[in-house]
Amino acid sequence: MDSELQLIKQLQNSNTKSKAFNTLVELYKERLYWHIRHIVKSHDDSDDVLQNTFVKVFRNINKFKGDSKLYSWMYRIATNEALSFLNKKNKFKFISSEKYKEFMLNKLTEDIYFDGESIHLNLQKAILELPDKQQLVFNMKYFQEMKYKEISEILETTEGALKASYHHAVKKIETFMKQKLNH
Amino acid sequence: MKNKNSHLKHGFKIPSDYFEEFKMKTSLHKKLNGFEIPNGYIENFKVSTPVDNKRLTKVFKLFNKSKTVYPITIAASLVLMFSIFINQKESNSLENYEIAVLEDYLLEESVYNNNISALIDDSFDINSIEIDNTILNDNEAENYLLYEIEVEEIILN
Repeated sequence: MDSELQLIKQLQNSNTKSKAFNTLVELYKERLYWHIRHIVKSHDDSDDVLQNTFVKVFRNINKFKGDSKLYSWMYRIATNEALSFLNKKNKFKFISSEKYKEFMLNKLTEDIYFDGESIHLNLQKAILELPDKQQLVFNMKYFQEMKYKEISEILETTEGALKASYHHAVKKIETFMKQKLNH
Repeated sequence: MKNKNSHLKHGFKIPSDYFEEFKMKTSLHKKLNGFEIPNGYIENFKVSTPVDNKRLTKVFKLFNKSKTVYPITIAASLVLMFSIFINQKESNSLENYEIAVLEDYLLEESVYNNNISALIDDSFDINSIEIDNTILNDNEAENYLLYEIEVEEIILN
């Protein structure tokens, strides 16, 4: 915690900002990348969103008051950036949510950085069937193995609500996967 | 609490760093789930940070609000005033036409009965025509017929 406070101070000081920012990028780039990747799915889009996330962090670091942990704040920015990126694409294409799921799946299968194994693809299909909030919770809990407490700080939701969301998400995914296996 | 090395007492051995590597492998496996990334992407990831605002050269606005808003407001008011003035003059009311001009139009532009009848078919309800009697009262009609139209000519035609 002390090192985090020190890093924040350095980030908010114009003389040490640049160096501290490089440290920040090194610390969080991988975790944030995977968080974004599971939301936007394709590597190229994730790269764009990750860049935008760090640029936003750089620009707004002086506004960070320390009300939450630095990583929660950064994850929140990354989540918002990823979701607004998807919303922009959705609006731009003027398509329904069903068509959008199809579009996302096509994007996934066409991405050279997705191995396309049927089990993985079916899991992604199942995730895309979930409501947005459940998708987020599932990705953070299952893929990133985050604690409910951490997710709660990032999504500003109670741990109880998150547990319920995750439980529903897992049940739906199980049902979906069983149906796929039986076919 | 159970001793971490208690299993070793029974003669079992494990490769050194087995659990550390096992943790890494499982977390990597879970994390990827079909997603791949280009080689060296994470290692070489760099953020192109925006230049610090203080170092930026001052940018002058092409359009200064105080200098542009007032002339635009004045110009817009003038355009509005002129458009109202012109519209008032150009009103297409029947009252603004000279009777003689209308008469000439009807005579010269050849509005024959045939043409009018062509517009009226069986579905046309003649009673639906509303005649504004205020335009032409009896006296005016009588005067018009007496002095302005050669009745004989109409009858002959």
